[in-house]
This record gives sequence, C-alpha cells and structure tokens, in this order.
Amino acid sequence: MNKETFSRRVLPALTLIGASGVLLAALDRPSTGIDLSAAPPIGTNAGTSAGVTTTIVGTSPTVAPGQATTVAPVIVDPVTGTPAATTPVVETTVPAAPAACSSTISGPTISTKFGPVQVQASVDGTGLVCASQGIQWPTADQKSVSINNQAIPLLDQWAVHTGNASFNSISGATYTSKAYKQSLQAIIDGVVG
Amino acid sequence: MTMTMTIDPGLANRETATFHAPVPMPVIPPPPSVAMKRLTASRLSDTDIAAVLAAYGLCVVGMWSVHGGLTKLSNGWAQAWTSVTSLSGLLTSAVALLALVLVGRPLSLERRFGLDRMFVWHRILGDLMGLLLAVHVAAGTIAWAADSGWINAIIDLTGRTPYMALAFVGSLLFGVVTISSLKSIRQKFSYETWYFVHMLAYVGMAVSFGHEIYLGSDLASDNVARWFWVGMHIAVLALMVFSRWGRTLKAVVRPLRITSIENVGHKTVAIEVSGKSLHHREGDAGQFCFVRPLKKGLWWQSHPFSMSAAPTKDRIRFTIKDRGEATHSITQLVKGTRVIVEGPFGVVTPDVLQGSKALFVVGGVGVAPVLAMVQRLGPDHEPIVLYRAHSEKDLVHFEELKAAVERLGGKILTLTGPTAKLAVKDPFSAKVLTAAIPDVAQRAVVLCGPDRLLHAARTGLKAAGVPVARIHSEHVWW
Repeated sequence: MNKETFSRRVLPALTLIGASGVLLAALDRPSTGIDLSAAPPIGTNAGTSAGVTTTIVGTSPTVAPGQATTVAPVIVDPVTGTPAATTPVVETTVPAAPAACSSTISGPTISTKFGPVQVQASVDGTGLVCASQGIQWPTADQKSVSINNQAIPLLDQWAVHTGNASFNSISGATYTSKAYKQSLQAIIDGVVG
Repeated sequence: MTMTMTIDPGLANRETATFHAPVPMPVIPPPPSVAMKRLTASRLSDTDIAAVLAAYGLCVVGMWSVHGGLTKLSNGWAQAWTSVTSLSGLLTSAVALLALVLVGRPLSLERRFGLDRMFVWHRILGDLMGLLLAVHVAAGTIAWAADSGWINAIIDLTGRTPYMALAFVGSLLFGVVTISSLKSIRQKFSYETWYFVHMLAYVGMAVSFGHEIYLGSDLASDNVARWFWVGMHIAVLALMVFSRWGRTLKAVVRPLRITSIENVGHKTVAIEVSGKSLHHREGDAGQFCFVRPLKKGLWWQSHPFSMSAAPTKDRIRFTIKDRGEATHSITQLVKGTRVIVEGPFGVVTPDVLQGSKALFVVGGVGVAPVLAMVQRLGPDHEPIVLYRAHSEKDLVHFEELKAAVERLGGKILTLTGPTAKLAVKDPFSAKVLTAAIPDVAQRAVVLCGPDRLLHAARTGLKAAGVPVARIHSEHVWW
C-alpha cells in the first residue's frame, strides 16, 4: 500500500533546494560598480603629507594634560566659502603632547545629488588625520546604500592611510568620495586654522 | 432493542431514514477516573493582542516614515518607487514573521483561538505576504532601473549587488511556497509533498535576511531600526525553536505506545495510546492531537486525529477511519507500536457550551470528539446528538455514545443513507431541525464532520434561530 515513499515526497523539496544552490552559485557575483582595485591613495601617513599645510598655526592651549575643555573651531564650508551652518562643538581632552590626536570632531554635512555626507574625524595638531569615519551617507535608495556600504569603509581607511583629504576618489562612488573629502578637509582646516 | 427515531417522520423517506438498531459494537470500558490536567486558560486579552499588533505595525511603518518614506512618495517617480520598495519589503518580512508566530503554536494563542483558526490566519497572512513580495520585487526593479536601465537593474538585483543573489533565490522560494499553497494547486499533491516544499519558507527567510540589513535603506543606516529588526527575527526564531520544534522534539524523545487497537465499525478502529509523558500534559475532551507512528514508511507523516474519549493522565484514545493511504496504514498498526503524539490542541471543548443545553451535529467518524465531550458533561446539558452517516455500519461507537447520552437524559437522532435518497432535500433545514428539536434555538451547538455537513448544518441552524456565537466547530484548515 505504501507505494508513496518518504524519498518520493521529499524529492520535490530537495530538488528545489538543489536548484536554488545552483542558481546561487551561478548568479552571486557581487560588485557594486565600485572600482576596488583603484590606484591606492596618494601619499602615506608619514608625517608630511602632500597637499596639507603642516605648519602648526597658533599656540597649544595652556591646559593641563588630561583636563577637558571645549574647542569650537569655526569651520568654513569649502563649497560656499561661508562658515558652516553647524558649528561643531567638541568635547576635547587635551593630550600631553601637542602633536597628539584631538578627540572626534564632526565635519560639516555636504549635500550631494544623492544625499548628505558627513565625516567625523580626529586630527592631530599638524593636521594629520588620526581616525576618520563617515557618519552620514546617502541612503535614499537601495542602490546608494549598496554603493556606500562599500565606499565609506574604504574612504575611512584611505583617510587614515594618507593622513589627509587628498586621496583619490573611488570610481563608482565619486559623489560620495568628493563630499567625504570636503567634510574631512573642513575638519582639518578647523583644527589647523 | 430497536431504534426507530427519525429526524422527522413526516418529512423523511421512511425507506432510508427510519432507523434500526445498528450492529452492536464492542463497548470500550470507560476511561479511568484520573482525568488529564485541564487546560490553563490563556491570559492574553483582546486588548493585549491588539496593543502588540498595533505597536508592531506602528514600529514597522514608523521606521519607514521616519526615514522619509512618506516624503519620498511625492518626490518624483524614482523616489516614489524606492519608497514603495522599502515599505513593501518591510511589510513582507513583518507579515512573514507574524505568519510564523501563528504556526509556532504558542500555547497562549492556541488556548485562546485554537490551532485551526491560527492555521487559517497563517494562510491568509501567507497570501498577503506573497502579494507584498510581488510588489516589493516589482517596485525594487523599477526603482533601480530608473537609475541604471532595465538590463543593468536585473543583473544588479540578481547577483551583482552583494546579498541580492540570495534575496533573489529567496523570493523564488517564497513564490514556490505561496503558489503551492493555493488551494487548487495544493490539493494536487499529497500532504507531505506540499509540507516539505512548504518548509522551504524557512530557507527563503534565512537567505533574504542579508539584503534586508545590507540594502534596506531603513535598516542600513539606522542602528535602532536595525536592532529592532534583528531582535524581532531572533524572537520569532526562539519561538520556533522552543515552542514549535522544541515540543515536537519533546514528543519524539518520549513517545507513547499503542496499548490497544480495536475494530469499532466499518473500516474504523479505536486506538488507545499511553505513556508517562501524558502525566504532564494538559488536555480536554473535544481536542485533537498530531499522531506520527514510529514505523518504517510512516515516521515522516503526522496527521491530526480527534480524541474519542476524554483524555486521562495515562491514556488517550483516537478513533480513525480508513479513508485513504495514510489513514489506512494507521488502521493497520499493531499493539506495542510507538507513536509520537503532539498535543492536545483545539478550543472546541465542553467549555464552549457555557452551561447551556447542548446539541451535537455529527457526521460519520466526526463522532469521536463528541463522544469524548459527552463523557465530560453534566445532566444540565441534556445533550442531543444528530448523527448523520452513510449507512448504519458507519455509526461507530453508537452503543457507547447512546449510553453516555442517555445517562444525561439526552437522546441520539440518527440519519443514514445517501442524501439523494432522503425525502427532504436538506435534512439540516431549519424546518427539519426545529421539528426534531423544538428547543434548538436555546441550545449551544457543536458541529463535527465533513465540510459539506458543517456548511449545511450551520446554514440550517442559523435559520432556526441559533446565534452564530453559539455554533462551534473546528475550522477547516486543510
């Protein structure tokens, strides 16, 4: 009576799983159009970086090491030339050595055709980028999300690697790259003066 | 002893609708007195459920709206399609999670609504999810094509974008699951073939998750939204693991054993199972269990059967009619066979009568839960049983039922023979029912039998003045 066996009934499901696996292997070729093999960024984080003034401007704040103070650099929007609307207010712990890194400063928000880009970075007294992180990027549509998911981490790396904001743009994420660099440059300019 | 009761002697055809004593059936001794622990009532109120659902809906639609979903709708076609993609994607997953909760069989919901209704809702949500998914896929393709063109959009969305090959395969799997569950298609396959294909929904959900987090414009950039989303998935996964599959596993680890199997009528057997694990279960007369015999060729199929005696702490009885391949194999089981029994489930128990006088409308082997319920009733209910069957030999458990009903001062009215041969076109018309049971409108009614009987009886009872709220039956979910 049991001519319908377990194997016969489970076969359609297994076939579908197998077909899914094959389809997946055939289709999964992720690439967002971002050229990840792009030429490495210009320069390295070796102290004197191209394109950045390395002269220390102004005096070191006379604050005892470890003491917290608030620094409010006026940041000039590099696009319009006017002071940025959002003046970053930064909690800063002034370190012992003048060349040590500042704490995190938020850069201005740069609008692009696809959406806003904003960078948060810490910079040392010479204007060298210690750490940089995109905190806002275009997410208006799935494609932007997809592109920036790859581009932003790369830009973060490149900013630290070069120590400045003059690395190459990522092809396939040109708008984001340019805006990222603008926002980062504004932070550097704000610290260096 | 002769039975000469008819539903209405004046209306029914005397040839076929006058009743004689059926072939005497072996009387199964009444179950021992230690009844199974009664069901703990669900503590969930309608307000609780409505509040949770409203909050859930608000969170999902809210996160879309907070990220500018509404504004984008009126920002030109490309943005509108993007916005529709986000919303329909979120809703697809949200509905899928709800559908999963329903089949996760949480007892708090089961005790309140019954597994049958939850399965029906699961199916409705499944259809809704299928529609939302279609909208999501279409809108997503259109939105992407607005920027990159159709060809590129299709290539991007089927594999060139990270996680999209997985999502594409996931949507195909969901398509198969949804379409194979349409009634007309589902009925072409055996239950198990359909069921194993249906399990691919788990795979579909798993492979689609990556793209939700990676590409979902609401989730990729908002930590709160993302953790809410991940949290919901983890919660539902936990429910599936502990409630749904955990209980199956528990039943597998502690199987019951067939202690007796007896012929109780035409192609019908009564199977008694017992085991230590019954001691901890909660159950009541009128409920059903999923039965999976641990035997070569049968272990992979699980079927729901009504208990035909009030369950006790050491014994459950099922009455099963040989109606096809699967039930045939079960009627051929022998004493000592181990069976995995999950349950009991169901909300049609003596509690639904709420103390009113009772009327049971029974078709064929649908007598099983009614027999169990009658065993738990008191004399206040004065139960009347309308017992419809193909022929007299299909009146199973007749003597046992008669004894139980008469002890309570009730009676059984039987009606056998093919419907075409009856003098009345509809033996469940309001006229026939009222003539046979003058106080029908005051009674609480439990229906149990094939769909057609349920439908006919429900229509007749409503016309006879029984409020819908007092007509109870298991919903048909397969």
